[in-house]
Amino acid sequence: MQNQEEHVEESETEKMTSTQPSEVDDWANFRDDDIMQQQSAIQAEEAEKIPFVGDKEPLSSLADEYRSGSPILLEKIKVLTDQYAAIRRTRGDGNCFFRSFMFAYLEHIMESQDEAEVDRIKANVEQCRMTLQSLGYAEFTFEDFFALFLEQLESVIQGSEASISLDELIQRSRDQSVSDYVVMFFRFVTSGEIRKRSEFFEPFILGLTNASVEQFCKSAVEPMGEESDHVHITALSDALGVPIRVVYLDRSSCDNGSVSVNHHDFIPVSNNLPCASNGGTEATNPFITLLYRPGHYDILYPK
Amino acid sequence: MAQAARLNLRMQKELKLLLTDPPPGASFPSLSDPQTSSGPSLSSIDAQIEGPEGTGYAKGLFKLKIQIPDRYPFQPPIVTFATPIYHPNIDNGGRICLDILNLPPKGAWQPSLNISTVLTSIGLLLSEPNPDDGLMHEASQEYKYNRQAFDQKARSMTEKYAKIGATEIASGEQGCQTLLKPSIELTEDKGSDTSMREDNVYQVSHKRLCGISRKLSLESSEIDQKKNDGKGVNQVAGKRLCERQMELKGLKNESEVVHSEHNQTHENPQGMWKKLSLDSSVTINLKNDKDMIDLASNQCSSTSKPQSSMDSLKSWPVVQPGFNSQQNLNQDGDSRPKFNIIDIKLEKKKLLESLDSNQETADDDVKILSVAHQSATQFESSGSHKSFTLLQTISHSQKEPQSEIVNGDGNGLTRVTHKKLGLAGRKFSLAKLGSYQCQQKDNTDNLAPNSRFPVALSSQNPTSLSMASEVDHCHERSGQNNPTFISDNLSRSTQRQPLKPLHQLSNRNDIITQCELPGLNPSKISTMQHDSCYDEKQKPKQDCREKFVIDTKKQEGTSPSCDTDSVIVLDSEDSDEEQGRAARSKLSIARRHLLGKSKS
Repeated sequence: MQNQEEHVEESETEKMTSTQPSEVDDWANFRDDDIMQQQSAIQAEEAEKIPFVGDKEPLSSLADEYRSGSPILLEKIKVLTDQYAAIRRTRGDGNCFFRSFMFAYLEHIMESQDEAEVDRIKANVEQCRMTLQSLGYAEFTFEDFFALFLEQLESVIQGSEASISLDELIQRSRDQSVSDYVVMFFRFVTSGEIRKRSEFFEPFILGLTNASVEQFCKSAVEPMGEESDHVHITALSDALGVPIRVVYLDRSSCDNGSVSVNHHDFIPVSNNLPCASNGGTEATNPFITLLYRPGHYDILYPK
Repeated sequence: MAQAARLNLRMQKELKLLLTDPPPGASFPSLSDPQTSSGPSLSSIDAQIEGPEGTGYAKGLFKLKIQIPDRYPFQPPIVTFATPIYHPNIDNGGRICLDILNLPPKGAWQPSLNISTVLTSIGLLLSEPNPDDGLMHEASQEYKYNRQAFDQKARSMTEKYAKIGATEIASGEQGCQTLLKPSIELTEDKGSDTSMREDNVYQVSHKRLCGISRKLSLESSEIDQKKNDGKGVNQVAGKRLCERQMELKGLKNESEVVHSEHNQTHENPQGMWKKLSLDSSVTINLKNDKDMIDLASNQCSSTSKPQSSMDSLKSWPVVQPGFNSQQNLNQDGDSRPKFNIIDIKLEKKKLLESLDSNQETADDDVKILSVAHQSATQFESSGSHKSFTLLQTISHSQKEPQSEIVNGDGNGLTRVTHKKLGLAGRKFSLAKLGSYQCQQKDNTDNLAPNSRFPVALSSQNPTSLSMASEVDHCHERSGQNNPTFISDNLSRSTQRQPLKPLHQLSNRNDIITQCELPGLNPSKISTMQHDSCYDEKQKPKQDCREKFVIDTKKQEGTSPSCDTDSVIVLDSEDSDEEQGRAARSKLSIARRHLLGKSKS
């Protein structure tokens, strides 16, 4: 009896709700992957509010963001403004480190027109290509990505017909088909470096994810959208021979009450550099500075 | 655009590599053809992969469709099997459950992979299925617990659809399509006439199967009828009722014959028989009450499980007339190993008998026959004049299981199991009938998926044809919506599988009793006698609703022969527990059906 009533009720409510079929339909057919899809859709929607690479903003915009936030952070931002002038935000889609690195590096080359650095990095890229080949990657799976990065590298050097302006560089960095390819290039380079020196990276990886080097590369390095950690940064820095400074903006505070901002410089291991001799001077002065807030990297511009 | 150009470049490289250094067992007939390789078909590749040696897929050539998304290689290629295959991780639509075919976090695709590695992985998946992450739970279970049966099914599917034969190689794509043609026709609901003709052809060589195939044609004519006549519900219902009655009648005759020889055996079958007829006639009630949703859901929830097992047990032989009937039997033999040959003999007898039995029905019970006539004429008036004979064939085919039972007891060795098997067998036929109604509902409901995968789906389940594929959808979705219900079934070992239909039968009874006869408490269903009580009480009620006068003597005549049966007792107890779950699934499916309706 009861069951029957429920039954009727149910079907009646269904009749009523069926006026909005799409909504109910969605829920009736919801499965795990639907939920995952929705989640990624939400993330994508959120991410699109910020371009892949944003505009240069004064650091005060960062302070605005934390106006009602932790006093420690505000204090730290104040400290930062002593050293840094501006910030360029990147989209928080899991590729922010690589994207920040890409833009910061290309912008640096564009500003410095450092052809020696370009030659050096090209040699390193060739090294990476060989590494990947020796690791058994099919050439065609990565050569497009390599070619695209080298193309960007050429184009930021002025004086040739392929040269581009800063605006064009920004545009390209915001174009998914270019930006993602370069990001993927870095991911290949990182993965190759980690695998090549797996005995070096293994303990770090174990501490991070409890996975094998192979698993880590497959699950956390090569797939797009996987966030980067110190292992990635170390590997990329080593592979390309580019020092990176990461400034940490978090709520950790010093015991003695005075606030300072931690930073860590990722200095490439010199034996990996083809031109180790003059790499020393560069290494002490990383020209790429990234601002790390837990879970995200942006580009910082020193004064 | 730059991306499109890059994708093109990448694809050209990939294709070049695929041709020069193909992954093991893979070939690309359409690419090696110089005409197409220069063409614009870079976004879609046809591949063939050989079944690995030492598996059920050996000596098979499976066609794969590879579609390249715009954002490849950032997105994985979409790979589906175009050739039907029996595999735990490949569904009826040919979709493959393989981690590298999905993006993280669910999958493991990475841009460093390529088509060659994907094909290699698929080849590995063929030799090493992953039943723990099964897409097809029947196949998964079988792979895990009844490996021999799995291998045999895989082999016969391979032989049927993926055989490296002259036609396959010569005609390439066309070979596959012509193979699937009959099922496509049925999927398109071309009507009873087409299927009737086909069925007649098969009938000659496959007597055993003709029941099934005729039922198919009955179904399609029903669909026609629905289309022709918007208010055909009552007519269909009436017809169904009379089918039921005739089955009952036929059974009675049958059991009388049997009675003299195997006195003690037919009680159980008959009891079950009643349950069957109860089921279907109650659903008719629902229909008449215009409670279409309830009906559909009821059918769906209760038939979903048996339907799939029916698919696997009985399905494939029909579509391929040339297929060796002995082989069919071997397949059936997976679950009913001992009766194949005897079945056939009995089957012939039954066919003859049932022809007679129909006339006996007329003699014995004029009123029932009049009902039958009445509905038959109704049916005729709406367009199909073959319906009456079809009604008979239904009862024929449903008698098969009984003959098995009798025979099993004759053997006297593994009696209980045989009974169960026989009952399961009967359940199949019931499930089939149930599934038809499902399909009627789903016809509108499932249009989208059906049109998306019509070929693959129907080809996968050749016997059940469109029906099976429809029901499969239904089944899949019910599984999604109510995982506990399915998984409960899954968790039973294969030894218990023959029992499942019983559970569901009693389930159904319970639910129905609750819905229709609130005064009767289903918790007491522990003996066959109780069940038969319900039969008696319920039937008059339906009849009233149906406005058919049905002789109650009929029920009286059958009920005394019903005795307590231990098998049934067990299951009825179980079913009390399951009832709630089943009811839930029913409701959830009801929801979907309503939605489907409102959408369409």
